[in-house]
Amino acid sequence: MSRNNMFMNRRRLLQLGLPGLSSLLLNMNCTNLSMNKGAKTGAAGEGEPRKFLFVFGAMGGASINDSFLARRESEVKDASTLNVFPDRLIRSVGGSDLRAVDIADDAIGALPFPVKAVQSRFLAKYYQDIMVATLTGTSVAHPVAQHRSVTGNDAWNGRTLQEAVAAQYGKGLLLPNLNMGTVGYAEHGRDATLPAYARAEAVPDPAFFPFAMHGYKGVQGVPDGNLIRMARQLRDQQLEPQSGFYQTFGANPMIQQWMDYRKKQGLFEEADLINRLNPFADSKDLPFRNFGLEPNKDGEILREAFPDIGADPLQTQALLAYLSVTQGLTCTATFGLGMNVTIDGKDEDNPLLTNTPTAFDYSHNAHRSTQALLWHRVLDTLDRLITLLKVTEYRDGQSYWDHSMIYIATDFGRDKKRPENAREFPTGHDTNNGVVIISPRANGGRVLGGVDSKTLNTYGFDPETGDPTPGREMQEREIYAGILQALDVDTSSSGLPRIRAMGRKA
Amino acid sequence: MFHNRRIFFIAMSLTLVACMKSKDLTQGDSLPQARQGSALVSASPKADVKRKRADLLRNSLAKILVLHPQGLCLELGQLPCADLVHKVSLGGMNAYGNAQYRYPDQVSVSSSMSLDRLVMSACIQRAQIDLINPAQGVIFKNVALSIDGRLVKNDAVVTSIHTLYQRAFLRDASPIELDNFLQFYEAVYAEQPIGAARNWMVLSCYAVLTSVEAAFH
Repeated sequence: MSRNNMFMNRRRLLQLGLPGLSSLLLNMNCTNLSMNKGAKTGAAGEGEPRKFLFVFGAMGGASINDSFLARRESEVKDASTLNVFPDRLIRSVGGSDLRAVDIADDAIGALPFPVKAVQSRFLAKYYQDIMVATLTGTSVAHPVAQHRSVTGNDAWNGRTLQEAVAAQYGKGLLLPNLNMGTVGYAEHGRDATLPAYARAEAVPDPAFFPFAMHGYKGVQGVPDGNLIRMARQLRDQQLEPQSGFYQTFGANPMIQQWMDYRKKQGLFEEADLINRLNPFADSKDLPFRNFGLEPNKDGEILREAFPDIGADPLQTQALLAYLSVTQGLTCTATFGLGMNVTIDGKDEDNPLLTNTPTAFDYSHNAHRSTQALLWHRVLDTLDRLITLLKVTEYRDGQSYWDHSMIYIATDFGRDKKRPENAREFPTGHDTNNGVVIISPRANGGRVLGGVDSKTLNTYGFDPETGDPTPGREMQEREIYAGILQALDVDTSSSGLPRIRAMGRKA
Repeated sequence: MFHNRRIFFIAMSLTLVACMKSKDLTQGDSLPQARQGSALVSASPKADVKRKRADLLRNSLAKILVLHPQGLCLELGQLPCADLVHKVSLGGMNAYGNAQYRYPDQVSVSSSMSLDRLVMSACIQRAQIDLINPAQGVIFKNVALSIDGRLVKNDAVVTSIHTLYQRAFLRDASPIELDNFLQFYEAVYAEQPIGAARNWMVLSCYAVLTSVEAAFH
């Protein structure tokens, strides 16, 4: 396959096995789509290739014991009172220590929705790029723990991972750091020395975000662009400098920031991001064309990969993360589960719950089914994102995925125990857990550290080799350092430890 | 109360003048008067200002332009700008929808673009309505157009700029500002003669109401 038809080719998308792609694609011509050539705004430019960090906020406490470090009953002595699974429910692949739980249930505690969770498909597909690093956190308070999961507990002046990546790779991009997260995952870091361009742009609703990428396109009856430029010049160069208000208060930092951003407005508008970031189809309900807007021309294939955009906020977020990176706008995007219930109501007679109230924290009510439902949802969404990244060329014949990392950040783990032989049970918060990193740049196919079969607590690893080190607990700052170093972020002046084990070459 | 009739008449006359001027501006709610123009002023050492957040922007614009707050700006003709689409970008909070419990502490890259859309949409509406019925105009009252769509330069044009400034900032436009707008019309006409008067109205409104004086307080 030549480079030209290797990327973003509909047949190739099908070959990658994304579930849900319809036969429609099979019957369409195998033409390259524009996305493989679309990064004109900075990402695919000359110079050192950028790296891309996607942070997925697994809100509420995603337990590693219910996914990649799950344990079989036969492996554990006190199986009846620990959170372990019947042997038949756990899959392993490729000789790695990574696990997957395939499980089904009729309800999620009191919520009468069925659960069918299949983790093994994701594991089989990506295990060579999946790395689990054990971790013991420092907080069981959600917002605090969430923020620490991205700052390594203020490991580097309070700078978040996303800010560090944006500071390294985001210079020259229009929106280096896009944050669709909530609560602690949405918080800015505290590093006053952070370059302004690396600060996150908050995106509360990805479906609406493209509208904010242009000052007037799509407003009916708007005068021509040239006239608007003249009006802006009148405002900026004549009216404001004379204004008593500006003369009095113009030195205010917020006003200065406002004016700096306003100067960049033309760049956003010229880049036509209002259309390029819009994956929706023109329709009676969303009559973009009536308002002079032209949604992304590759929207059809994007909607094949993410068929529930709009109705499903997580898919909408993931797709905006993909678009913002591959359109050359962004080098780090944060998204994840929200606090609100979401339901897939395509089948009105059999609606499916897609997010529990407070996401993973519904484990307080029904641990096993909540973890099963949401791990499935997380992995399904990431599968779709990775699939698109793999078929989108970044540069020099390499895909965006070759330069990307997905970090599944979570608040903390959950209790390791259960009532004797209970199939469903409530759990509280536990600082002991592990994090999942998926990337060609990570030490994939490996579990760094291990699980104590007596307690199900995770233990640490040698920072240099990754060898299991019972008795050692990995700190938040070590995971933070390992992530940045695997992405070749310069941490030399940070005082962070060297965690070579988390990089691909370890 | 008054020591002599002369003072009484002077006081009455001033009151009447004030009432008449106020009436010009009160197609909607009445707005208080403020001092004229702006001389060069010294910078405030504290420069302590706040941004107008989504709700305040919406309500201010609705009051200045006498438009319904909920109809001020609708993306795709149906999605409210300040209450939904651009709420957070305009400094608002979305606790229920997005677990965002605090107002943004800084402006964001998209803030000025969101404000542009909100103001542009509102100004287009105001200009259209005033053009249809100039005698009842809120901002561009009695502004006349020639047969070929040019602005007829009379006192109504000057008054409309003062009205815009009064309603937006509680002050008249300074002579320099006024001159800027009159010159701006010439530039608009030179760039695009067709619809120049209407475009000038929309863009004059836009230039004033997207300025930092309108976005902060």
